[in-house]
Amino acid sequence: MPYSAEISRTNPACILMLIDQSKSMDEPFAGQPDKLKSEGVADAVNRLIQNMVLKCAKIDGVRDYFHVGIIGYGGQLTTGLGGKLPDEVLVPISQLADKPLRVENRSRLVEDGAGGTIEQTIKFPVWYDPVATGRTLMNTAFEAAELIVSSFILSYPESYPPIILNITDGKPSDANPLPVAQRLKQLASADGPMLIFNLLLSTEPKPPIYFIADESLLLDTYSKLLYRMSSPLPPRLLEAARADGFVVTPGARGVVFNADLVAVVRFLDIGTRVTTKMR
Amino acid sequence: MSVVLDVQVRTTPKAGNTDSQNEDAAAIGSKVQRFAIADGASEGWQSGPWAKVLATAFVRTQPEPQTFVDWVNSVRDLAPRTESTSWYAEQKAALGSFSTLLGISFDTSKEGQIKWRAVAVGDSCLFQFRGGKLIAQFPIESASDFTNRPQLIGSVEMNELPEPEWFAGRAELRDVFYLLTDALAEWFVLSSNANERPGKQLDQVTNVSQSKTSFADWIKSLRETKVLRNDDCTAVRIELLPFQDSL
Repeated sequence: MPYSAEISRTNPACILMLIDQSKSMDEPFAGQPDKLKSEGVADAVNRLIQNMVLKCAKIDGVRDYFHVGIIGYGGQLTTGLGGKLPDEVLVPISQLADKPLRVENRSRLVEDGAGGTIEQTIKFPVWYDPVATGRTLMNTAFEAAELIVSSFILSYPESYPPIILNITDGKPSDANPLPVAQRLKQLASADGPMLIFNLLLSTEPKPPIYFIADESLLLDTYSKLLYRMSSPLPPRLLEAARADGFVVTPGARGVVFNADLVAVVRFLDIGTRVTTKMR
Repeated sequence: MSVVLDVQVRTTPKAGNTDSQNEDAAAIGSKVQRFAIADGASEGWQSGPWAKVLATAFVRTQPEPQTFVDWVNSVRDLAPRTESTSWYAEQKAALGSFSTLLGISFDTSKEGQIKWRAVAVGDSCLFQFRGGKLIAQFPIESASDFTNRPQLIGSVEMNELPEPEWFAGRAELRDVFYLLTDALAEWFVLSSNANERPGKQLDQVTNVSQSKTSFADWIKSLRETKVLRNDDCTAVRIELLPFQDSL
């Protein structure tokens, strides 16, 4: 059965994030005027990496169950997490664990058990800082991802299929990324074709649309493009979405539209819920 | 007539892991006739040592239904601590470690009647054999009950403690009990459903005359033929022998 490979240090999982860094990312989320999109995405990405490290951390060390990479696309391509283009973008999770850019103290409100809340300080490691400048070289980013994903599959042919998580707030300014996305989806490990999941940040203060299975629900051409670029959720991820309260039907794609801050977090969480079989 | 328990313990880690990364644990209390296995969850910070603490605590003090919560709280005081100061050590240690627990105790009356009692949290299982026939299994009845989300006892008080399951029965001389962690227990149930006499196979590899490596070799062959999940595997075999037979 595809998408059932055990994730191990000898067969790690590849998580590659493509993050829109265009100028418009410095605008606030629709309906959330106090939070810039670039900052909200950076927080969500840092929280995802933090959770991945925690999943892999044992007292005898952080196990390299994941190789993680970030390609930012604005006026040019950049890499995050200390990775390098063209072919060293992925970084084993143990290296990230020990080397965040910094560990911030952040405060959050927690219930005090007596009906009120108290402020609690937590450590918040930061690996990725927000960037927002220039155009939207999304097609170029997907082309760069092609090399990274194919090299990963060559190195780990039995692995869980690589996952690309693309987060954007606008249309590509370079070229239509559908052809490269279709080529990418032909790349497969022994456990199945690689996965592309897409998220479009909110443009209007309307509720997000999660994991639909029917393109005809979408009105504009660009949303249809992102839908077509996206892979169906494999059974375990579909189950994870259902367990989190989403109404999903078989064939639901890994795509979210009109995403607010919460939707970004949920998208990253469900899109990487591959970890029930780690060793 | 007094009873002597012949106990054999076999364990082997997941393929790809070393013996020290095996997060199953077993504790043997031959004198007090209490035995336990525990299966540490792989995502916990130090679930292996926590599993050992739990199993050992059962052998030392047997919990009762009315004292179980207090018993767990007292065992948590013995949970392994961490001295690492990295951000993730701090956060992961605060989340705690997790393990199943299966404990069994035997009690022989003056008249020679043997009773046993067991407690379980999670999917580690026991199987009782008489004359080569399976006569009791606990707590899991069906292969579909083995999931990736078993009930677990945490080393820190965060979520509600799962309700343990309790069981009791009678035993006779020459009965054999197996305590098995989940992958092996699941294999056992599936093989049993297919009439493949898993008890006989287990007998052969846990027999006192067999070396401990024969168990690991057997597990390896089951994994290679894809009939056993790749997981830590532990089997404790307890045979009730009349006193003179054990001499």
